[in-house]
Amino acid sequence: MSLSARHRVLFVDDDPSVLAGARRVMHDLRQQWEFLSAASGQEALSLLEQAPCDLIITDMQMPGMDGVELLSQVLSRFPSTVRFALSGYADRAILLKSVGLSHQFLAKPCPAESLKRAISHTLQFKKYLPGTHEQAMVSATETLPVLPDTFRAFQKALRVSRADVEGVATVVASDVCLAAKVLHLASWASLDFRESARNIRQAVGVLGTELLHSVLFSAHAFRAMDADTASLFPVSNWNQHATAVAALSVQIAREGGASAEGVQEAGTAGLLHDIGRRILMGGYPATYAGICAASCADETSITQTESEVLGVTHAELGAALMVLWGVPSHVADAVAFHHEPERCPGEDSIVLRAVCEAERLVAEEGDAGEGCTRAEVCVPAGGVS
Amino acid sequence: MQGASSSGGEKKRAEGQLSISSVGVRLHFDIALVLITIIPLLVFIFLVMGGYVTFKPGRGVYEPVAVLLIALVGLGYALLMRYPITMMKLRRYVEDMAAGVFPESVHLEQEETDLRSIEAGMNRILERLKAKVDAMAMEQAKLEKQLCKAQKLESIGALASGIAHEINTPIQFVGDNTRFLSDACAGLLKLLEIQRRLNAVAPSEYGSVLAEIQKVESEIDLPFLEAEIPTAISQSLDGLSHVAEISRALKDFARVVSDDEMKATDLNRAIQSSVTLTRNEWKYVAELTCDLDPALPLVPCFAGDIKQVLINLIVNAAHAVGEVVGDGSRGKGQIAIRARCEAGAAVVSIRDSGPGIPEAVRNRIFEPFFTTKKGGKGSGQGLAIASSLIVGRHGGQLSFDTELGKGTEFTIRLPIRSGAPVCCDAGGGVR
Repeated sequence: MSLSARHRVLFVDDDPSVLAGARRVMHDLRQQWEFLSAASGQEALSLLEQAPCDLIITDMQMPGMDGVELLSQVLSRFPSTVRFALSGYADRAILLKSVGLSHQFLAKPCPAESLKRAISHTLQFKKYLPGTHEQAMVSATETLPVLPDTFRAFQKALRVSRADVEGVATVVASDVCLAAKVLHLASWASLDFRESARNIRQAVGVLGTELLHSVLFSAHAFRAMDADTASLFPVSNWNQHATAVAALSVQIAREGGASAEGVQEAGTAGLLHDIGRRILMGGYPATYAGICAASCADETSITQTESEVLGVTHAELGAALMVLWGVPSHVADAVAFHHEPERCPGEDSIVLRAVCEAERLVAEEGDAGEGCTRAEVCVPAGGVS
Repeated sequence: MQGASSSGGEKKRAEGQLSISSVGVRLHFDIALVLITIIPLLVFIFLVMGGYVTFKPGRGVYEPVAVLLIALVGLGYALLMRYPITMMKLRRYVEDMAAGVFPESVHLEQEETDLRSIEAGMNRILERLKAKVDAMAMEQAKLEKQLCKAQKLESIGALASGIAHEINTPIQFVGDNTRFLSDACAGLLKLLEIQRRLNAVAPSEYGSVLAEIQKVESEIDLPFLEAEIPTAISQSLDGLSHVAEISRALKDFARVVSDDEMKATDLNRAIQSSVTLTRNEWKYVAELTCDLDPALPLVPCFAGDIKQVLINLIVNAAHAVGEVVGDGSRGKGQIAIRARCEAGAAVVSIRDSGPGIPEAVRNRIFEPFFTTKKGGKGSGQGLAIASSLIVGRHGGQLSFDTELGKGTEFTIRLPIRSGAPVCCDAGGGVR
């Protein structure tokens, strides 16, 4: 990689020894990363003003501007910068404040290998996206709106039957966005991307329902979509489609002789494969309703219309967000290439094959999840336009 | 403005008043008795003697008759008065008890069965009451001890997150440095290994070996290693000693959690470990200075209690300074700790540059559950417990000196010889 293509990684900590230590361990990756450091939030912001950075890692407790303040400034002023928190506090309050602000939350002491792995994994999100505008669009996405009914069911499950991990996991798996966020938070707990939770059940177990409860009621990691947006899209059909593809993917992966992890990843990839549509729906409801309607009217594939109008597809956006949210690379690849498996670089992945096959089978059965949802989409979209 | 905690002293004074008032009552009572019995008798005798002198009756007969008469009347009078007097005594006892003044025991000094059984019954009631009061006092002492312990746990629990941060930060960079040193060491050994080859090869091959050396040197970035290795090592050693210091302070704190007798304690060291454990509380808002007298003798005390008090006072000082300086971005405040020996007492003072204590709450700060801190930052137990530990358990003094807009100084005085009271005129007035 040439020097100009080096990723700029900015490290912020009020303790100079921590900065020096980080600079030393990052030194062997100097060909790939340019290491910058700042001793305070102010200094970090002025560095960012001079030149954008790809990723910022900040301590949370600092005199003057603290980590929460810094991250929220970075989110609003430099949205394409990936945000990591590195905290020495065992305090849950700080973790809850970082939910929705940081892509990764690492606990000090964090081994150099884990930190490097987290950085290189997360920076991969760019490979799915054509430019900085799309990068900003993805990395500024804090939460994805959940279907109101599912949101209520989730609240109820955490309030009433917190001991029932299985029950909570079932509710979580019934909405794609809920599932994605839970996987995201679970990746914070695992700290090691080889070990991140591969399915929802695991993720709920890793987090614990008690933590989920505090995240739900004190941080704003989860939110329900507003009724207007919900009426524009057949979200519950999408969710049903995702669940059906997930179930079939698991079956296909198992029959294809995948390892236990492969089977779990296939299920997760199946569930998340259309998460990009939810990003577009949450960020640009009117435009995206138009795109869906146009795709139905012209009988072109949805990805083609997306590419023409937006320059990026829901598959690519979804994969990029999932990488930022700490979902394993195999799963993200399957999300990115579920329409065009032949474009996937690298070795043949059973996760991707399972998802493609499952989607084909579900489509043959007459589920209209991926393609035309004419009945639901065109009517309200027409009403809007 | 000065103030002092006196929870223990007040209690003792109140007990003193109790016994004095009961003595007063008894005195009063006895005088009344004397007046009631003696005065009418004297009047009677006076009248009889007066009659004798006035009428001068015939000799020989009147005198013994008069004496007999006097004796008989006296006896009759005594018999007559006995009952009302006893009733009055009884009424007094009951009134006293109703007013909360309990005698040691009830003495009616009468032989009649009714009165004796009343006396015995009242004494039984008194004994039972006393037993109940003793049990309650014991229960209260137990509760107070538990509260103290709970507050100790609360104070260390509130510090736990900060202590974790203080430990995790050095571990982070010591880990990073060690990782770096391990890689650097591997690179340097590789270089050394190639350089050794110079001894073995023919001079004609020096060129190729030197080229290889240069290649490896640039691979491992030798100038970077040369610059960074010494500082990586010295910073790691600093970090390790920082962690070791915290670990020692924690051990000190843990060791004395269950002390039941006073031990000669190094107050300077207690101050230093309290400062270490609270560092995360004050370091963002204040510069903390310690002016400790190395000649301070060992002080007999419950070391755990003293550290608990010190931690409470330092955390309070940090919170007070925080109220003034906010997050510390526009300069920090000051906390100054001083330890010295003064008139037979060890004196530790903790001064902060906080906002001072408002006049309205000055006489309430030692009350249990009284707090001005917001949002669960304090349960209002810290100063109440500090005062009961210093005054109640050590016979010391806890006083403060505060000025609005300038700050507050809390001063602990502990007797250096155990049992010797702290000289009282020394309260406050340091500033």
